[in-house]
Amino acid sequence: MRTIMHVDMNSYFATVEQQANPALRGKPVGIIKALGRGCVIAASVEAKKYGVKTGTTVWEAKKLCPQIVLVPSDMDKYFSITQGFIQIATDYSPSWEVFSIDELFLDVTQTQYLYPGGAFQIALEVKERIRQDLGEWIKCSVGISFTKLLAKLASEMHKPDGLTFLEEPDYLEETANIAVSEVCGIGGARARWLNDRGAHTLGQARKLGGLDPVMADLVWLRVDEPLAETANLAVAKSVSRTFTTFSVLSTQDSVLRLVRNLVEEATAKLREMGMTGRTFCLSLDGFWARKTISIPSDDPKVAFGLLAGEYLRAPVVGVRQAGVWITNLVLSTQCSMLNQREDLLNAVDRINNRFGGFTLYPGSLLGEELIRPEVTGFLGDKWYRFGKYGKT
Amino acid sequence: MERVNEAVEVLARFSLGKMSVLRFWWRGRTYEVKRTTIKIERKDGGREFWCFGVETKTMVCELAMEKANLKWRLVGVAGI
Repeated sequence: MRTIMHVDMNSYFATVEQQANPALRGKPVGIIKALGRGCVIAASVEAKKYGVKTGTTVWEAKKLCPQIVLVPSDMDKYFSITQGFIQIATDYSPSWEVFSIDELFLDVTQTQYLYPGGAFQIALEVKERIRQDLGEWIKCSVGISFTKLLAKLASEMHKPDGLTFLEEPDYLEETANIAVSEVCGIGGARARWLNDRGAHTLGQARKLGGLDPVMADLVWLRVDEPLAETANLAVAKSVSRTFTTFSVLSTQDSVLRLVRNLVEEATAKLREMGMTGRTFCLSLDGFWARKTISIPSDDPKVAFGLLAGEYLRAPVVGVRQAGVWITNLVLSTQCSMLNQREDLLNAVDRINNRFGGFTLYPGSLLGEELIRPEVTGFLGDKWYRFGKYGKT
Repeated sequence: MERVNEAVEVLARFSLGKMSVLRFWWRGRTYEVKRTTIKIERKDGGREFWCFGVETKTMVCELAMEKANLKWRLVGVAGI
């Protein structure tokens, strides 16, 4: 039987901001994407007590908690702290999985025997080192069990700063009152299906007959997946960048400018990862297009040319959301020695590396604020950031 | 936090493999650092920075040191 530890940082983004600025500690804090945005993306422990949670609109949040302090998100700051806690936790086992920007699984089946207090001691040391090295306000909940599913459930049971074991033979009894929607794998549709049959908790769901095998495994907590260790993650299948504008884009020029910016970012990411793509997709409010080419490319001019061509065939305006996807990825191979365009892109990348992102960029993006790359909460590029092909 | 992004002079201590900021000078005034609240790394393209959230008597601010040239900048400030 394995021993899996799940480390879950509590109210992560808000707690990091409270660590950075002591004036925010003890106050209800809502993290928003940027000033002027309509939605809270993370709430502090104090804000949660007023009912503010991820997805609450700013208007609702202020109604629920008039004294709430809204802080623009700083994803680089959160990712840097994530790297810190990964470094701490992985000192205790070579087998680990980064689940998201604020969650990590650690397999301590073997390494727990190196510590007199076993997994319990490891958990306490991880917590203490996080406090000492990353900051006294930053707390995590730790769940320990024999599968990933149970360890994650255990870490959710006592927050903040909890330490929970779920073990044989009591784990079914101890989880009987947990809402079905709390189980990783029971999403909206499955939870609704169970709720419609009167099953709101795991205990109630276990009394239902006629569950399909997948649902039964989830309800009886029998799912036992191996760790998706970052060193063995498969190469990325796609690169994408989406953006929601502050105001409606009412002209074709402004829409194309946004598309160009997103294309620049996505192709720069491709080149950074040493990859090229064959299929290019564009999604706008009321518009979707996909174009596949035979020779893979990482050139923004090629990508933008394809997507702009598709857009101009049926242009839409009144756009607030835009997304660019590049799929059918392959690792780059050396092209023709006479490919001047490739040399040019390499030179641009080297200049942007040395002097900062977007030091050089297309003239068509001049004059307005640029949309810059940022880390996402689910760490979609973790194979690259932490895997064997990665840079860290 | 209000964005500043101005060059500053900094007094730092390197001890037991750790760096801490003790004092900095900005716009003709000296600021004693009461405590460092957070230490993070940032990147801008290939440029890498060590960043320190520090608290003084009157404000909380972020100081950034570029790893390649050891130049310091005051990134932003917030009142307390």
